[in-house]
Formats: sequence, structure tokens, C-alpha cells
Amino acid sequence: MRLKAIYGEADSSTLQHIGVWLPARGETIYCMNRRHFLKRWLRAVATVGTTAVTGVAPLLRTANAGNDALDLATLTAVADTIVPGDEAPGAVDAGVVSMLVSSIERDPRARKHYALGLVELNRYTLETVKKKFPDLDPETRARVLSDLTTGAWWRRAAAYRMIALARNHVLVLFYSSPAAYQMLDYTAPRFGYLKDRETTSNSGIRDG
Amino acid sequence: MGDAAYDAVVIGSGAGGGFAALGLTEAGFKVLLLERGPRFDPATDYPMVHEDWERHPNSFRIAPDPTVEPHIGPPLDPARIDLLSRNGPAPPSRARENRGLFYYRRVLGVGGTTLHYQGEAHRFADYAFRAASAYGHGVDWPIGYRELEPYYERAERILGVAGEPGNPHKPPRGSFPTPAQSLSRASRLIGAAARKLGWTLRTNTLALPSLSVDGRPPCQHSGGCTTGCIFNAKSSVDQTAIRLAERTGRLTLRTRARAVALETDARGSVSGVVYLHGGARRLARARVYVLALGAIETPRLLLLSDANRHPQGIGNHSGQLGRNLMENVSVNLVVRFAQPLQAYKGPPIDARIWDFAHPDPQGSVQSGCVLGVSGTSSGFHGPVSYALATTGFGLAHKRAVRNRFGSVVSIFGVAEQEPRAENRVALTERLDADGIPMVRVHSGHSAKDVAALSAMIARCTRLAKTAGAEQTIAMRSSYDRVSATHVAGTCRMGRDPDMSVVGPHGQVHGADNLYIADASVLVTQGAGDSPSLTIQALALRTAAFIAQRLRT
Repeated sequence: MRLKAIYGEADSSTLQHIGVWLPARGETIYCMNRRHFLKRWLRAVATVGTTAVTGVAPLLRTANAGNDALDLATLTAVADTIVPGDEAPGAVDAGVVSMLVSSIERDPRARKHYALGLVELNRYTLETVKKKFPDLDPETRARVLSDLTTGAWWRRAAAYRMIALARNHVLVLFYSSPAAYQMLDYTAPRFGYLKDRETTSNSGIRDG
Repeated sequence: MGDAAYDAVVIGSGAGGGFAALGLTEAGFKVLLLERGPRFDPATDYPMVHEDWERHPNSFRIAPDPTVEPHIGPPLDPARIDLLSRNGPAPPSRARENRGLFYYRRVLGVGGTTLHYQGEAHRFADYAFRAASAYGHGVDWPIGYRELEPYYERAERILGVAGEPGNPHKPPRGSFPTPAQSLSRASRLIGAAARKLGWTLRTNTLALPSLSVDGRPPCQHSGGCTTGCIFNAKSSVDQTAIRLAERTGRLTLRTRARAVALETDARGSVSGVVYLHGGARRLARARVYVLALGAIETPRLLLLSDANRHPQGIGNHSGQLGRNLMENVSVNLVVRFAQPLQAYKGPPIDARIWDFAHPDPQGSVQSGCVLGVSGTSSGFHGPVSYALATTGFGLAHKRAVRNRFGSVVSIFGVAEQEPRAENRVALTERLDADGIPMVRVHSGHSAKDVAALSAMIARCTRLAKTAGAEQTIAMRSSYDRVSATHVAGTCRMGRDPDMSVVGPHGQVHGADNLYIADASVLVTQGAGDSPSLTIQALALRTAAFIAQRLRT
């Protein structure tokens, strides 16, 4: 099943090129090339930038606006489950949530999927463990996200889609943030790496 | 509406057009250079100018091109399911019925596809020009290495090519304009493995100068070649030939100008080029015309031009126009090592193995093949690419990204494709947004091509294993994934007008003031080497020929 290819056991040490699932018109789910999918969304993100965090004001305004309101507490809990803090900061500490909200507000289609998916996620946890998602402990949250993206995922397709989107969005925002760069001891290429390059002679290889 | 008098109109500003324009302007001629795309500013337009560069979309449009009707290639041979691209340790699923859709990977912009190339600057070996007589591959070139050598030298100087002489698989030569780049950690590791196998990994020859050239900084090892060099360090054509041509004061560069037709006179000579610019249809006239739109668009323009006088297309007396299309026969093995290699640093393709480049008529790869190592062209580059490609989420995911970041490289093989008439570009009934007929690309692999794939997969796998790669993440093969970066051959060069489209100097048979200076004229593909330097050298040679004729 395709889903397992994407959301294989978190512990299985399998790296692979993944496709990203997106709902197409007519509610069919299909696989798109990762690069192709990200391009559209990146345009929305690019306008946000690392520093230009616009905060949660737009979100709060729409919180009372009707059925498509975003639930900030649940979204934050989802982001925290996707990249939790350990000895290094997680998504929430890195400021991912406010950037995520800003970019969602710029992408009506994504916004719809988030709004519906967050509602369904809480409905699911209320049914199964009698609590809303943000009130669960980290282990249970992780198990819930796994459950909703494997097995009979189609029964809760809205939650599934939201998680699929959130996983990729949170990863893009977190792993391009200063917190992640520091964690990985990574310097942005705009500064060049010429100075760090080891300058050992090539001759050993050339004459080999 | 007419344009001021020019000596030459050059269409397309990539590897061929840029160097043709340079050759002509330096010889004292006024040139109008038409480029369909915009001019990019490396200081602002490329994703890597941003610290969070992976959030920024690529400026180059490499997506499905609306001017080429995506075409499903010929059926795959289900018996060769082992050649099918696959991810991870999973076995290939099942042979799809067809090859993947043909997406034409090129860049529209001043500098053309050199804006995203990784700077490989290879002279073809001398035997590569005698492919038919040396190893029974296609036909021989009408010219040999010696005729091209001075132009290779000139092109290398303009580009500041970094390299190391002494490659026994290439004709003897002098020193390179700049010293070879130092090898990356990955290449040293894989170089040691190659030694164990009796192979030699050599530093690549790159248009990524190791010293400052023409006031530009040397290569900064950012690994960002494919999204546009933000340092002006990569010797793409906009930074080299076009800058030099502009300094002569004889170049008029018109961007966002798309040539849509050629007009001819009663003698069959070209009398003007019709192009779209600023929403208007315009006509440019000159004494000569040079086409450099690439191996898909050049035959397209010729095929659709002047239906009255040339019902088969201009220069198609032989019926060869648009035929003999060659892609790359290529294999790319993406592997992960246990140790951190900082694979995101350095020239992307800093080393190659030429031991198999010499064609072996009895061997599995009759066309010759070259193996290479790449740190950043595996699809794994910055942190985001690693994070997205690592499955799952949560703490285990985070730990995995931390452990694996910078440890994925690709080991690839490239062989030249057998030029065959049935691999071709042909017009369709469908029109693009500007009302121009789209083309359909037919491209399949011959039995020889498939044998080359097979041999390259075996060699790449052996090298990866010997180097101690921990995991094979993906294997991609041109068996099912069209490799449309180095397309060539659709306006073949030859002496016999019945067998070719252009003569030995790039002059189109039957149209005495029309020349082609791009990959379309390549007769064969140089036994696995990259084509840009040969395109550039040929363009300089064609420009010298035109200059001589214009003077007399």
C-alpha cells in the first residue's frame, strides 16, 4: 500500500524518495512529484521569510468565522509531534507554527484541508481516547498520527490529508530554520564553503 | 516592423548561441541575439541568495514544457525489468508499459541551460569523432579532433576551465586555464574504492574556475550550480561569452523575444526571422542567421518554417531533419554512507572514471561509458531534502535526519546513445500558447543502449559496494526515465547533403546563409562525456567560418 511507503515505521531506517499525497479535484487522492507539489506551496512560504513572522492574529480572527476555522492549539500539537524538541529545539521552539499559519492563510486550498483535518483529528481522539489531541501525552499523539495515516486511513481522509500536508510543511519550515542549521552544524551555502574545503593533495587518488 | 541592420541574427543565447555571438562580434560584426527567456540577476534571482534557500522555488522553469507535447515513449521490454528505476531496497514493481513522458529539461534565459548545468567541460576524445569506423556506432563526423582543438582551447580559456592534464583517455594537451578543484570527501572515499577495483577516479574538468577569471570570484563550493550560481563564479554563458560579446559594443541582446518562423527568398536563402516580442510580431533581417535553440527547438523552427518553399521544412532535403535524436543513456545510483561526508559542499560532479570511456567493439558498452560521482545532484542536498526523504516523523525521524545529513551521494554512469533515425522530433497538430505547432519526441533505447545500461548498473553497484555504501536509496535509469538534459543530434552534421542537415561548418544544406550552432549538429555524443564544451567549440568554429565568408 502506498501509504506505508510514505509513513513507514518511524523506526525503520529507510530513506527513500517519497511522493506527496494531495487531494485532487473530485476527491481522488493521487501521488504527485514532490518537487512539483512543493513549488506552488513554496511560493506562499517564500513571502513569509524567516524573520517576517506575522504572528497568529489572522488565525484568531478567523477562529470564530465559521466551519473552516483553524484550531491553533491542535495545529501546534501536530507540529510538535512531527518535530518534537529533544536536546535540540523542535518545531514549536523554532517558531514554525506562526510561519505555518501565515503560509496557510496565503493558500486557500491548503487552508481548507487544514481546517477540516484538524476538526476530524480531534473528533477521532475524543472518540477513541476521550481527549482532544492537544491534551494527549507525546507518545499517544505520535501513535494517533501513525494510526490515522496507516491502515484504514480512507475512513478519515480529511485527517489523513491534513497530516500529510502538515508533515511536509513542518519539515520544510523547521529544516530551513536557524535552529535546524545549528542542530546539523550546517551553514547556508550563500556564504560559500571554499574556506572549509580540505586542501589535501589529490595526487594519491590521481595516481592510484 | 523592421530592425536596424545587423550582420547576423543569432537565435538562442545558450552554450552555442552565446559563443557564436561572441565569435561574430569579436570578428567585427553586428549581431542581434534573440533570447526567449529573461536575463537573471544572480545577486537576487536564485534561491541560494536566501539563507533559508530550500523554501524558495527554483527560478528556472524545468517543469513540463508547454511547447513539447509530452510523449509516451516506445514500450519497455518486460524482460529487462532489472533496469527499471526504483527506490530503496524494494524490488522494481513491474515494468510499466511505456517509457516515462518526455519532459524537455532546459532553461529559458540568457545563458540557456548553462544556467543550471554543473559546469562539466569535456573535450571529446579523438576516437569519439570516428564513432562508426572505431566502434560501429552511428556515422563518423565530417571533422576530427584536430580541427576542433584550437576552438576547444579558446573556449576553455574563456570559461577558465579547472582541470588537470595527463588523462590518458584523452588526447595529449597542455595545462588547464585554472588548476583542478580539490576532491570532496565523498570522491576521496569512492576514489579509494575505485583503486581497489583497478579503476582510477580522476578530478573532473569543470567550467567552475579554481581561480578568479575575468574579475569573477573562483568557485565557492556551494554546490548550487543547478539552481543558479549566486557568486557569478560558475562560467555559465551569461557570465562569459555574452559579457565578452557585450564589451565589443556590437551585440544587441533582446530578451523575451521568441523566434517563431524563418522567411526565405526565391533562392532558398533566409531573408528574415519573425519573432514575438512585447506582444508584437516583429521581423529581423541580417546577412546571416544562426540557429541555437537546442536540439528540440531548432528542428522545430526549421520544420515549421516556410511551408510554401520548403514543404518538408528548411534544410530537410535529406529527410534527416529532426531525426537521430540522442539523449543520454544514464544510470544514477543514490547511496548513503554511514559516515558524514558533507556531501552538500563542493562542485557537484567533481570526479569521473574514464577507464571505460574507450569503446570496446566486443564489450558490453560498445559506445564507451564514463562513471562519475556527485555530491549534490542526487536529490539530497540541503537539510529539507533529507528531512522530506526520510520516512515518518517524530523523534526517530529527527534522529535519522541528524545522523544522515550530508551522507548521501550519487554514483552515476553515462554512455552515448546509439543515433537512430526513429528517435526523432516531429511536429504535431497541437498548438502552444503562441499558436506554434508543438513537437512530439520519440525516443527509445536500442539493444546496444540497453546493454550499456546493464553494464553501468553493474559497475556503479560494484563501486558503491566496494566503497562501503550502507544503503542504496534509489536507482534511476534512462530505461524508463527519459534523460532529456543532453539532447542532441537532430540536425546532424555531415558532408553528404543526402545524409545530413548541416555541412562541416554548421551551414544548413540548401540555405547558404543559415547556420546551426547548438547540440543539434552533434553526430554522436562523445562516449559519455558532457556536450557543452564541444557545442561551444563548434560555435566558435562556425562563427570563424561565417566571419571569413562575410568578409569576402
